[in-house]
Amino acid sequence: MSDAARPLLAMEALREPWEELERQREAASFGMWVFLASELLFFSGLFVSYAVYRAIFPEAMIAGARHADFFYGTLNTAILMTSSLTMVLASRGAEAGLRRFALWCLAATILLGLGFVVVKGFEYAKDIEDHLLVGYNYDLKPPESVLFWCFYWVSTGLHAVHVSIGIALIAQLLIQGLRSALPLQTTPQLGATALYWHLVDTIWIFLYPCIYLVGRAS
Amino acid sequence: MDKRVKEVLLPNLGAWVVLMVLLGITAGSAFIPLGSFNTVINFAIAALKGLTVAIVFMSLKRPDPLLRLAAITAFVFLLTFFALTLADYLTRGPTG
Repeated sequence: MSDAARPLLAMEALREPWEELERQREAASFGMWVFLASELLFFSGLFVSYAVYRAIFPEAMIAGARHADFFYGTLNTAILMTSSLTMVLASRGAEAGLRRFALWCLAATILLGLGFVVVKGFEYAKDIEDHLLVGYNYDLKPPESVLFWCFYWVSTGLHAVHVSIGIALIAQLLIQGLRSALPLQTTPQLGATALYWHLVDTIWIFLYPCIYLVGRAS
Repeated sequence: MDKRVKEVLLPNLGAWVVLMVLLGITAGSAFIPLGSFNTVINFAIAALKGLTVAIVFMSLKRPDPLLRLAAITAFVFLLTFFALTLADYLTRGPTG
């Protein structure tokens, strides 16, 4: 494709009401950050409840946490942080005009995201086998430890839903990138999706010490 | 290696190495009996990791006041939520 054709093609990515691509990108980033702020408050309800339960039932919460699988949790933290690296490389690569590099990084991010979900699946299977599924076969003592496991299932479940949405969004970007000749950096979607993926990673970074690092030394 | 690839790769790879080292420290220190300092260390490291992701990966180091404002607003609301809730629960006397 000739260079003269590129700006014309890039204009296809422009949407109402913006008059230039740069403003559209800025608006998308800002909009995404406002959405992320609401997401942060949404998850913070869970973190606050965790802090309150830790304050009221410290022993029971620690007793419950000892049964969380340290290996799977740590492995998934490493996988998710690495996927954040490949995601940032995809978005920075696209900005630098490295199309093939960016598409490979998107594919790597999808694979790592799927890896996270698969490891989570193994972990859930083990938890159910260990009689830790609240409302189904839970039999851990003391009974108040159920508060920890309620937090575990709700928070990791909600997080897994977010990871799955992220994988779908990145897959859509990859398909779009493979099909269209439009330079990746012209649409604001890649940057916005990358921000979302990093927030999902950040939330896991805080879930990790809440769930997997409690009561290991005592 | 392509010079542009190198320029994209190196700073972000550096941040990833920092994240992995912090993960190693927090996972290792969790097994050393330090009493309540275990919790302090774990959450301090989580905060450091979160900051690394926000500043390097989420571009907060770019001088864009609008994005920084949105991020700081989120943080202030978060802090208010925690402060008001914990100010109640952590100061309650023993219940009968």
